[in-house]
Amino acid sequence: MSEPTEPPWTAEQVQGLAPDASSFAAARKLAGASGWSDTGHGGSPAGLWGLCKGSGSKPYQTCVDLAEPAYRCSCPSRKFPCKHALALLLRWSAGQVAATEPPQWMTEWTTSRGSRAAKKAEQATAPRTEAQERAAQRRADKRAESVAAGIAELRTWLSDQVRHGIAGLDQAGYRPFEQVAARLVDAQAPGLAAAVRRLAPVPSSGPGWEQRLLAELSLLHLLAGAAANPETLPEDLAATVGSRVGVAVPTEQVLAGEPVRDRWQVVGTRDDTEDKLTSRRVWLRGRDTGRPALVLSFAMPGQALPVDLVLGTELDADLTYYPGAAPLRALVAARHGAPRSCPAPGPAQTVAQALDEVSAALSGDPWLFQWPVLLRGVLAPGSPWHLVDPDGDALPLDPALGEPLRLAAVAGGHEITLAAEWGPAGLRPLAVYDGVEVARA
Amino acid sequence: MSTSIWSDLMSSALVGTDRRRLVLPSVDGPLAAVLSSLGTELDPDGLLSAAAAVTVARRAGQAAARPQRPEPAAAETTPYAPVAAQQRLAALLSGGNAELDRTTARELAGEWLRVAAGRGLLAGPAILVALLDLGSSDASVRATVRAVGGTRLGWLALQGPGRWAWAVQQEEPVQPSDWDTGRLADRVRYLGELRARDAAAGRDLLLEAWPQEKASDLAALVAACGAGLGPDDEPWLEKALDDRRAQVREAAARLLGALPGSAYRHRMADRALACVQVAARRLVATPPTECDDAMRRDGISVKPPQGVGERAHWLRHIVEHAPLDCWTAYDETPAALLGRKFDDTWGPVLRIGLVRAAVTQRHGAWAAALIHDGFGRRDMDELRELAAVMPEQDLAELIAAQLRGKVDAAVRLLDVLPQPWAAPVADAVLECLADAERRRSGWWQLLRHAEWGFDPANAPRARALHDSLPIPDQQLLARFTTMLQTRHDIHQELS
Repeated sequence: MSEPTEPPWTAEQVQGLAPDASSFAAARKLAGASGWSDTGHGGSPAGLWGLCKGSGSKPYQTCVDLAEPAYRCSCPSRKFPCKHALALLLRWSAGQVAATEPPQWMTEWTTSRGSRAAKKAEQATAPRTEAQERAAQRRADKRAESVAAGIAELRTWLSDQVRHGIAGLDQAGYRPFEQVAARLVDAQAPGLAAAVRRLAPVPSSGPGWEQRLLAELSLLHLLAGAAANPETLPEDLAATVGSRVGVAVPTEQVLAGEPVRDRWQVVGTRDDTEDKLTSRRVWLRGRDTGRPALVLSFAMPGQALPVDLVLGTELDADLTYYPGAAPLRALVAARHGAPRSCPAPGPAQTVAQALDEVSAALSGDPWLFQWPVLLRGVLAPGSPWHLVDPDGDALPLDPALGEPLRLAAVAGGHEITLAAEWGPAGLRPLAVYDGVEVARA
Repeated sequence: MSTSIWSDLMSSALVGTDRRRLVLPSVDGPLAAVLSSLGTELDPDGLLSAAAAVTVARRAGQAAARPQRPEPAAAETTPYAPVAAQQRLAALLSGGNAELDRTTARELAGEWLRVAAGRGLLAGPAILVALLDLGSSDASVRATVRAVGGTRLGWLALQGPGRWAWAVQQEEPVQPSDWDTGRLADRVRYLGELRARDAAAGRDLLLEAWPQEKASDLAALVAACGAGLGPDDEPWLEKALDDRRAQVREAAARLLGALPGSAYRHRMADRALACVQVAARRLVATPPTECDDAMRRDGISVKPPQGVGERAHWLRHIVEHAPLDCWTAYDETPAALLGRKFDDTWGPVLRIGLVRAAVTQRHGAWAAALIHDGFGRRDMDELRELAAVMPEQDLAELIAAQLRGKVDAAVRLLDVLPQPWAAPVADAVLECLADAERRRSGWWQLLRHAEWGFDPANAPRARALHDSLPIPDQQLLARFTTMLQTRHDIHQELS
């Protein structure tokens, strides 16, 4: 026991790590089962381990590195983390795991992981050869050409919509949008393609769709115009436009940026599946700087999403932001210690402060359609529902998400801290903190 | 300002700039610089640029709304169930898993609710939406959901959809107006509750309304006076026997039969002892040869039901409604009387009459004696009816004994045995399950009943039995042990 004792994670947090609902259900059952032995937690970095009786004669060795977190289990499951690791976490969460010295198999694993991490870091920092540089440049030029052609086509299509009128688009279905999106994918502008796909459901989104569609078309037009002439833009804005178009920024370049050290609080996570690709948004807010950040990750079918940032925890770490005029997306560049539980994130904003922040962010990135806010207030029923801050100012909740009854139940009409995404249609709740617990929205 | 420009942009974009040209009016304010740079007559690109400027300006300039704050939920006065129990309920409500199907998970959630309600514990706020939805689709759990939902349940239901209204409304107390204007069921309920509170007031109310009531309504209302029945009711019930409507007489006779020491009971006992006599240690029955006025007055119908002879019918009615204790005139105990030889002709009718009597009069000792007298010979429905009135301990012992013999016959009595089953039954079931030779007919049924019938405290024993069996047999017991374990955990977690 070299580390100070951390309060264990809540079951809710453990659930956030589960790759799917059935894994978590299986883990919950397993956690209550009698097959566990030699469980313990402690060591440095802080870890969790145990033996679980499986169907074979030899029990499975399950271990969790709580700092990262990382998992290992000798079971054959391809789920990650597997139900044994989740069950072990649940037992820890329920206070059923005592602090002891780690067994040998646990320390071996910790050590081997440490050396692997060092090797990887070495590889990443190795400089590229001249030939590699040239090839990369060629690829970049070719791509720029292709993107430019795609953008030109998009601009023509946008103009055509307005020239001929958008009134009939609610009868046309998704097809017109899909065709344009497919062309943009071919043109290697995935960001633009995704933006066009986001338009597809708008004409069938109910009354007022014309307003929403024109707004989105006009912003796409603005983006395409900017992307066609990137050299005329300031550097930051050019980077924002690049990211919106879908130009990838190399990880090394991001990690080389100015690190921002803070106690980063994981205030919300959200998974989305689009076109078979699952994305996980992890929203962070710095306790000291008050800055928001977004750690975005993707997984193809069958791949596991990274689970190292757990809702309701905070992490002392260096973050580096992707370049842009309203920096938001970031990477964790360096960690300083294990995550701690964080049942009451802060500083919470008033509605006025949140609106100011959104407004400032929009002045940098006018295409912004999500921005994390951390508000304190009460939920007020109505259509739409609102979050009312102590000053009486309120923001609407996105009515498309339905009534936030579960949140209302947890809040009980009392003041809560709500982590949400701001969007043009309203807030999208991510998590609610009632001062003791965090509940996923 | 941005509103009027926006509607200009909108109307042109809807039909197309080809059909409606857009001339931008001059504007002032922060958007002026951007918009004036686009020129006055806008092409499609100009329109989109102007729309983008207005859109971003609107988003960046969003103003806060000022709605009403809600009234917060009142604080709870009873404690919440422990965290592990809350998690259990959430898991059960979120549906089944590999081991428990959806329906079973719901049934187990029902058990959770009953136990929590019994122990005065609340379900956490995060589960309330699921509970409200459960109650909306299944009215049978509403009472327990209300009990474990605390004050927040009603508070939440007020904000939620209309289908949750049941959680807001209290069970409506019966109103005096139900008596005057309600449907028959409401009137019966009103009268029943009044009788339970103030028997005399209920009687006066009924007698006042008597002349206007229809026969069928009156019969139901008289039956409702079973609540608060006492010696004071004998006079008016006797008078009701003089009513010319058979339904009313029968209803009155039923109540008089339940009134200890009533003259009606004496009359029926006299009739029974007159019809059935002991001769040379045999029971000899001589049914009445006619249904006289006195018999009719006491609710005996002249006409038998289809397929029954009239004398058999009268005999059976008399035996069924004569107080069973009258037979002590011949024998001290039911068993002794049943041990006698019965009359060849009327014996079967006599037996049926006694069975009906035990069931109607809910006479435990007689029911037990009748079951022991002819367990194998009796028809199953009759057996179950008798079992249902037997004292629990007797029934448990009977079933336990039967389980060691004929499993399938015993199984069919299990659902009348009050849950949780008494220890002797649980012991016998485990014994039966352990014996591979006896896993035959009725065995599956036995397991299904045992899932809910067992006291969950037996879970470790069931688990031990499961583990002691060879692997193929373990699978047969898997569901039973899982269910019992889950119920055991529910009870433990809620303590």
